[in-house]
Amino acid sequence: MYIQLKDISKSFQRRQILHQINFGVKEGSLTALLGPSGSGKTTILRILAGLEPATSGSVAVAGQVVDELTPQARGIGFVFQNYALFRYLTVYDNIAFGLRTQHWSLRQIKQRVAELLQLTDLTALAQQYPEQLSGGQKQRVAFARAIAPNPKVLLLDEPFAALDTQIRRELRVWLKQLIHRVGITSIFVTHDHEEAMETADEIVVINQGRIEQIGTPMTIYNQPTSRFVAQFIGQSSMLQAPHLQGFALPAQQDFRAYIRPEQVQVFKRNESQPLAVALEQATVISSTFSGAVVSVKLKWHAQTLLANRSPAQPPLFNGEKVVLFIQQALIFTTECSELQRNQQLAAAYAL
Amino acid sequence: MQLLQAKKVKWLLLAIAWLFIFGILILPLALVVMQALALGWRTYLTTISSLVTLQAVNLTVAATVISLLFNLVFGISAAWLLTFYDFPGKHLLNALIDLPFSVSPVIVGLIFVLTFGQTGWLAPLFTTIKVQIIFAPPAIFLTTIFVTFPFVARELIPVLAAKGREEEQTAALLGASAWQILRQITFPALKAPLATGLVLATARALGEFGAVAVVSGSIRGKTLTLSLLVQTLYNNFKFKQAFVVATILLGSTLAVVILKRRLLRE
Repeated sequence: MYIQLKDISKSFQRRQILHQINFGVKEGSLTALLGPSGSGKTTILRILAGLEPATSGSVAVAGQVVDELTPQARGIGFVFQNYALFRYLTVYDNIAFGLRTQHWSLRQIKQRVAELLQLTDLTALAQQYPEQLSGGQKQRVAFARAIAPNPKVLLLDEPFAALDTQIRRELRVWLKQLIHRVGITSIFVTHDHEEAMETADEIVVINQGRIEQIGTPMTIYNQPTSRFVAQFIGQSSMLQAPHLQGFALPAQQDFRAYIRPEQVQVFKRNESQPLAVALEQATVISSTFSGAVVSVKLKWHAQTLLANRSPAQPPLFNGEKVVLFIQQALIFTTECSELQRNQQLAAAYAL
Repeated sequence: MQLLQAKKVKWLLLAIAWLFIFGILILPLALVVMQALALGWRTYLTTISSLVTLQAVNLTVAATVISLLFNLVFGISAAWLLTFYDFPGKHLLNALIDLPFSVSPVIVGLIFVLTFGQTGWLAPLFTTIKVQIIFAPPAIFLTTIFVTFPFVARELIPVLAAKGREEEQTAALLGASAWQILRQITFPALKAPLATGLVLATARALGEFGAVAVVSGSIRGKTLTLSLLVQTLYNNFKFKQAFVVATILLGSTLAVVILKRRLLRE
């Protein structure tokens, strides 16, 4: 592992913020620290950068323990949430700052800054001051400035939080491609699970100063190992011991099932169904059109269940009796979690 | 119609502003200058170059420079401390910084007399080492420092608080030394509030009257500041000379304000 955190704990004013954080990051990969605000994820980033000391534990980068090193000596690039651009320096001088402090030659500086300006599409803005830039441009300057001296690691604290939705989408894709092209090992902090899913190679989910789960976006989404992750990542309906047809339900009666809305198919009673499976009865509480999907809230066996429906299908009315089919559910007992496909599906496809 | 009314309001406000500034500021100042020059240039120059006036200029400049230096060191340290550190008694210190603004200058003078005077609490110490504080320049320096010390700190604290430390931390992560960070990142951001604080402190130091009057003893040629000299002359019915000395204060204050604007390219 290129970056390794070992038993990192942190207390501040007698309150424990981090509890024995252990995880590693592969060289050249992009990792997301995902968690709600106040979960301690930014503190982990600051400890990595040497901006805050850990109460106990150890951090190693590229096989070298860095606990005793000052931020100056760690070789870490850092992008703050508000970018923290040097407001009295031009874009050019912002990017050149780290090269000058590390005594690069004038010719090397010129060459490296020009290269980065081109990479981040900022060449035309080289002589502008930060206050003249848009949010997206500022973020690109902060990124270029952070990677200019070729740091070993790049850390980004909520890099997209200050941007509009549209620009955020674009920059996410841009940043992901760029980080992989540059090949720099990177960690970013976010509270937005979609952002983490779309951008990261690996996600570390953090809650109340503890790691909940580590895995690829796919694993984290489909196979949460804790109730927190199941509820925090994406939308799901939580059902208490539902009587699910086609699933191997546990013997004890206090289990829960988490069901993603996209795993529930809803049909009008007179609609033709694509699969020959047993359907269940439910009542529509509400349905909300949000562009790409219609979110349907259903009452099923006295519990609330969310489902997605295509806007192309005929609309559902509040109070309408409908039929539904659950394709996949995450079954949680006190001991373990298990992702199950509806067994009727296999049977239906086999036909 | 709406537009017309808006224009009327604008002209009304403009008229009020100018009338006020003219009546309160420009007219009295012009009268001071006119009075000072009433006896002609020759008298003006003799008064200005008299020994008593020169002594007062020296003392006032010395008091101002010393208090500015103290302000610079104390103001920056206090602002830094209060913005970036947590410690027991932080709120108390924060409140105490404002004390010189809220205590009447005469009381300030009396406090110093009680502390350093002939019968004061620290009198035995200063008698032993044969240093006179009260009715001597040191008392004037001390009181001037006292009445000016909130200026720089109060200007810097909100700016430092709003600025945060992230630019400095970024610079550190990019390999900058503490000195490089201070010079290239922190100082440029603090230039303007620092200058404002210093200008305000200078104006106060030049013009301080109440506190200084109590501790100075108004010994001609020894412990008179410019403000005290104006008052002494005025009390001795030397009105014209009083106005002459007043123009020095007026001129230096204007010069400081203009200098600040020049330096900051406002």
